[in-house]
Amino acid sequence: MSGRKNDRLAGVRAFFAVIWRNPMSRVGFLILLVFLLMAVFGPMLIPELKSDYANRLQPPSREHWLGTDLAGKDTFLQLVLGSRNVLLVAAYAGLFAVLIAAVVGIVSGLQGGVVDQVLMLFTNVVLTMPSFPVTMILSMVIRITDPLVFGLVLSLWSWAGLAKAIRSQVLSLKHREFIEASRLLGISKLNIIRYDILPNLVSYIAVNFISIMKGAITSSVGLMILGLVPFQGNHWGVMIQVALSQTGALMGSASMVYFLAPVVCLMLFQLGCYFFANGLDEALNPRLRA
Amino acid sequence: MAEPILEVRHLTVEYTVHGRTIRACDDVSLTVNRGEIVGIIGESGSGKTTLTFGILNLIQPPGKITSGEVIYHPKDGKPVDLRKLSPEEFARYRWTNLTTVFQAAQNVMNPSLRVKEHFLETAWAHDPKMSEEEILARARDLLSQVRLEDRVLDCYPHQLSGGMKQRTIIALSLILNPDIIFLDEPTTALDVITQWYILEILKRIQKEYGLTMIFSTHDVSIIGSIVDRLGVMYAGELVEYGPVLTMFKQPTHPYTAGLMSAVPSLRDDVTKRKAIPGHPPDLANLPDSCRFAPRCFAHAQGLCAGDRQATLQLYPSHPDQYTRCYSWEKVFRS
Amino acid sequence: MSLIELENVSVYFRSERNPRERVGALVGVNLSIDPGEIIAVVGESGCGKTTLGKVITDIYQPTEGRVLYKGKDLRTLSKQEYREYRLGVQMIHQDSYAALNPNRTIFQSLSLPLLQHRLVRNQHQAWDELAALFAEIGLTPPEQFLDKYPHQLSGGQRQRILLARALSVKPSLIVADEPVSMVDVSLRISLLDLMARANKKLGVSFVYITHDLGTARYIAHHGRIAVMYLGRMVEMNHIQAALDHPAHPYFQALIAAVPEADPTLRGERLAQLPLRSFDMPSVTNAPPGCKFHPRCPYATELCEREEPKLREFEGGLVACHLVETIRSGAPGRFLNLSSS
Repeated sequence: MSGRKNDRLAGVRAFFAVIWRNPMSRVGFLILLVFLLMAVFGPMLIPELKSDYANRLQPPSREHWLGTDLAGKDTFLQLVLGSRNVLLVAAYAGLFAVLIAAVVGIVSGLQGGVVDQVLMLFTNVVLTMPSFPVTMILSMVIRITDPLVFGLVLSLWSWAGLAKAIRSQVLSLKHREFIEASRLLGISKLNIIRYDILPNLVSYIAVNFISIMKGAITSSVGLMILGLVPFQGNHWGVMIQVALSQTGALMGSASMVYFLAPVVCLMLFQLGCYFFANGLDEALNPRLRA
Repeated sequence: MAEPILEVRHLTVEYTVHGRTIRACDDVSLTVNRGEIVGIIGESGSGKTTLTFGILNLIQPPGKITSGEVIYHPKDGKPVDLRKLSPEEFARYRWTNLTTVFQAAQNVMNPSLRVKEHFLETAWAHDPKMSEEEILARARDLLSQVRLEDRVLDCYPHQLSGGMKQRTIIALSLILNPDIIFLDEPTTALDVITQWYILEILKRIQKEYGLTMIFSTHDVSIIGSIVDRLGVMYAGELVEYGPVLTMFKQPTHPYTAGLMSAVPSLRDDVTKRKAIPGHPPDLANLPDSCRFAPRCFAHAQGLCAGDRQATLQLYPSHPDQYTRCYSWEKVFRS
Repeated sequence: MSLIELENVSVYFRSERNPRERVGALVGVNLSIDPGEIIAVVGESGCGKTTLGKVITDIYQPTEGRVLYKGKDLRTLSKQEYREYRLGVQMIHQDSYAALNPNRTIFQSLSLPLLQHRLVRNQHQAWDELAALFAEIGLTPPEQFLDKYPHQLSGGQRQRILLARALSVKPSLIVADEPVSMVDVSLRISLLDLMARANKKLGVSFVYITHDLGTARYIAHHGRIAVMYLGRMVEMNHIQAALDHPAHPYFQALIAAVPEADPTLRGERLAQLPLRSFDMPSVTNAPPGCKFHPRCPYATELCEREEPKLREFEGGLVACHLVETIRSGAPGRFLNLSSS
């Protein structure tokens, strides 16, 4: 019997081989990797950020790579610290959105009938609501203090499109012969979802997960700029908000760097997501790999 | 007197994918005489469709014709090597001299045009001087030959059934009085009764217009009903070619013999049927030996070593019949 | 006792164009399948043979009539009994690529039912059983096939895997829906031989659905044949008797239309088919009375009014008002191709 473990390792290796082969996804992967490392290890390695009012709003120098902020704290270090929360919020948003979308889409698609109609009505309502204003209102009502809650709130309006897409995928899969074959063999509904439907949805979900993350970041930053989120921790969005409101960054001053740094980082992150997603579909599809 | 109308000489078509090159059609040579119905039989990987596409210059990248000549002998005029023509020059021969009827599912009909517009467009593309009445009169005549009513002219393709569409395409292919019709799986995916009907129609128009037909298919049972000469292809090569009567009763290639025995009919002895062992050839992984050797009963019995070099040419066997099996006399001695 | 019995089964669907109309994919079919027998079901596209297969395997439920398994109505089976039915009645699809999960290896796909139904105790046992089964089916060495994904195998190999999958749950009946039509011609018989062997050695009944009379005769040469037309069963008999003396005019036309590979028999082909018209009506606009009457060369006024019931005739069953007169040589109005 051939090693099943070898099989899984080979699968993982094949996955990365494809990501690497595609120049776009290679770049995207590297960008995301850098940010991931930054987010995971950065805060561990950085000492306490010290305020230093004497040195506030300094331009970049050898001591402070990206200068200092309003309170004299090093901009670069803030960037690194902030990355963790940025990724966390985005990841939570993506996770919750995908979970809700998957449950709604699969149940709707498989059950059909009244269940399907009710769920789709609900989904359509959510879809047609203007997401940003509603999120704004929600964030005024709920006190968002940690990344998890923030992610949850952001996910509430991003799952609907994916749910519909998953439902259509399930509907088309439902009548495929191999699913009929599973039913003929008496495979339980749960196992059909687990083994027949989900593996055929994975690449779809993964790609959408990345783009939901992308969208979540934009929304989160937007909310922060508008000052609607009393987020305590470090976050690029907070940096931008502070830069805009308290330092007149856009008027052109030394604090320009303080403003631009998180903005550029955000753009880079978005780009990384986009590029990585580009190669994901191919990497997750065994037909295109082997 | 048999006069050649098409001579294919050493035609080779290669496909290069992921750095690997396969020869879908490998050094194929055959001659078709005017007024003949030639059948090309082959299964998956045989190259029969590639052969047809190669002759008609329809090969798309990553495929490429790497060698060979395709000499066409028009009724009046000098023979011309179709391969040497530019795409524009070749286009002039399509529909006027060489036409095609492909599998019903591969729709050549424009879904937004009515049938009569198809006839008009096709005719005008080659002869802008023809008048509309002339073309439609001829169209009506052709449609009646394929047993379709005039009202079909006003229909859209989606309003016609599979069999009716196929008959329309046959009529359309004749609009400019062609010399040769190439048919690729023309009755696959049609029901048995429609298939019978279409074969009868093809036989009749062939006789009426003195057409030459080149039929490629995997359906061995059709050859008995319509074909004069038969070519058998395997793994990109032409393995046997000859008059259908002797090919069927006295095949001289183990693959041909195997094919004839592998197809059950309504009247044969059921116990005499045998499948060909093994599996279809993988053109990317061909053996160093004779390409059929892995599945050949003669090779298995030790009657033939399956030497590759010896299979690089055809050998005459029965009158007007050629085989790639160099051991044919030993194998088919009886 | 019969294994599967269809009692006056009809399957109606809502017409797409007019939701108030219904389309009869299968109408008034009675069929009884015994253990160990092979029945060929033939007909052209739209005749209802695939629907018949899906009703036997409970993929479709009958709109009217009942399906009985070992004498009991499927709808009244207990959970345990239904499980026995579910594993006991299997199907092989026509498209072997679509019938396998593209994202799972062959072993993963085939071991799942064995493990779920506890037919094996663990993965090791599943592997051993499947390897043995594959060896029987001619897929050796088994590892070469079990570890692959469907797209890495040829059509003929996949079709064998479908047969192996069906046999792995030890069924008493397998419905094979056009199992060889997408397989290379030279390999078809080997697949049919495997099915015949399973029938002989394991006593598995087969319902072989096809439009190809040649392969039907090959596999069912000791069995029966049922001929379908527009959802109705129009003839049923032992296959050799049916082919030698077809009773229903549609079946007569079908047999006459089958191409014969042997070119020396070309002169024997009829110059005309015993049909009055060639265009096949669809299930959505089925004619009144006998569904075949517009194309039937012998049709009378009775045929236009009244739909004939399946009745006994010369040892078989036929649904035709005029079968006796046809048999004694009544003239018919044929379509002559050479006239314009």
